[in-house]
Amino acid sequence: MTNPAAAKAPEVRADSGPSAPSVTPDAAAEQELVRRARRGELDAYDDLVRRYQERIYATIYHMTANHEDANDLAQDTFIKAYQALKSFKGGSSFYTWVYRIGVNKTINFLKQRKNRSHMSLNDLDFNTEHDPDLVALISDKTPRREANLNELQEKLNEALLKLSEPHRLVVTLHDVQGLAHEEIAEIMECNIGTVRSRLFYARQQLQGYMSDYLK
Amino acid sequence: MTPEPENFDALQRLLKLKRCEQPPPGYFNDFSRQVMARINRDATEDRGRSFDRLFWEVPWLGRLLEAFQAKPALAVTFGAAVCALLIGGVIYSASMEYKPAALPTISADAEQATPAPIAPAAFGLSDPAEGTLAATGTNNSLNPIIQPGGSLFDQFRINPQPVSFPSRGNGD
Repeated sequence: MTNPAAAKAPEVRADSGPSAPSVTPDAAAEQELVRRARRGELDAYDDLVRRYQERIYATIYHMTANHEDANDLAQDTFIKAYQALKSFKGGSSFYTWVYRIGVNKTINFLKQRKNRSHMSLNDLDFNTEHDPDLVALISDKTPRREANLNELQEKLNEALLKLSEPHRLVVTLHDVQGLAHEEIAEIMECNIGTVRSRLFYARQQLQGYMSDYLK
Repeated sequence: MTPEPENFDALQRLLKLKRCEQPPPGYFNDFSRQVMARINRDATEDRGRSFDRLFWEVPWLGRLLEAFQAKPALAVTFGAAVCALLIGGVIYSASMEYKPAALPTISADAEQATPAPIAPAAFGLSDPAEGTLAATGTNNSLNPIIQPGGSLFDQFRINPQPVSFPSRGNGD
C-alpha cells in the first residue's frame, strides 16, 4: 500500500522534472535565508522562492490541472508567504509552511471554481515516451505512441479531478511528488492515519476510473 | 477475515506520468522575478494607499498638494518662504545671547525679617558653625540659588564654609 519512494525524505532527482522533489532542504541555510527575508532582504526571499518554486508549482498544477491557474496560485502563495513571514514562528520548516499556504489557497480556489473546471495541461517531457513503466502501459495497438500518451495524460487528469480535494492532494503529494506520510500530515494538519486512509481510498477510486488503462 | 491487500503498482506507475508534465521551457527562470516584481508593486501600492488615507484624513493637505500641482509657481513660492523662515530662525537663534535672569536681591528689611537661624541641633550638626551657613547672606532658604547646569538637588547640599566670629572682651 505504501510507496517505497515515499518512505524516506525527498531526495535529489535530477531527471524527474518539476513534479518531483529536488533537494532535501538544508535547514541551517534555510533558516538563515528566512531570517534575512524577515529583515526585508528581498534577495534572500528570492533564493527561497527559487528553492521551492518547482515543488509548489507542481503541487498546485497537479491539483488544478491548469497551468495558468497554477501559475497565479503559485505566485500568490509566495507573495502571501512573504507578507506573513513575520508571523512564521519556525515551528515547522519553511517549506512545509509554504506548502500549507499553497495547499490552503488551492483548496479555497477549487471550491470557488467547482463548476468550471477547465484543463490546461502542460506538455509531456520529451523523455516520457522512453520511460519503460509508461511504455508498458501504452497499448501497442495504437500506431501513434505520442497520441496515446496524451490521451492517457488527459484521462489521468480527468480521473484525478473526480477525486475530492483532500484525496487528490494526498495522491499528489505522495504518489506524484514522493513526500512521506509524516510530511503530508504536517502539511495537511491531520494525523498520519488520516493520510494513510485517504491515500488508500483515493487509490481505490483512481484504480476504478483508470481500469481500462491498467489491465 | 482481513480484506485482500490491493495492488496499486500499476496505478503508481501510471501516476509517474504526472511527473513528466512540464511547464513551458524557461518558465521557472522568470517565475521568481515575477514574484519579486509583484511584491515590490504591492509595497508601492501600499505606500500609495497610506498617502490616500492621509489625504482623506487631512483634507487640506490634499487641497494644498492639488494647488501645488496646478500652480508650480505657488509651490516654488511656498518652498522659498519655508526656506527663508528656516534660515531666519537659525540666524536669529545664533545671534541670541544667553542672558541669565537677574537674581532677586534681598533688601535690608527683608533680611531683618529673615527668621532666626535654625538651631544646629535641628540638622544634627555638632559644629555650631555648620548650622549657620544656611541662613547667612543670600544663601538661605528664602533666596535659593540654583546652580546652572547642576542637579536639582544641589540647592539642598550643605557646603560648610569657615565663618569668623568677632572676638569680644579682653580689651583688644
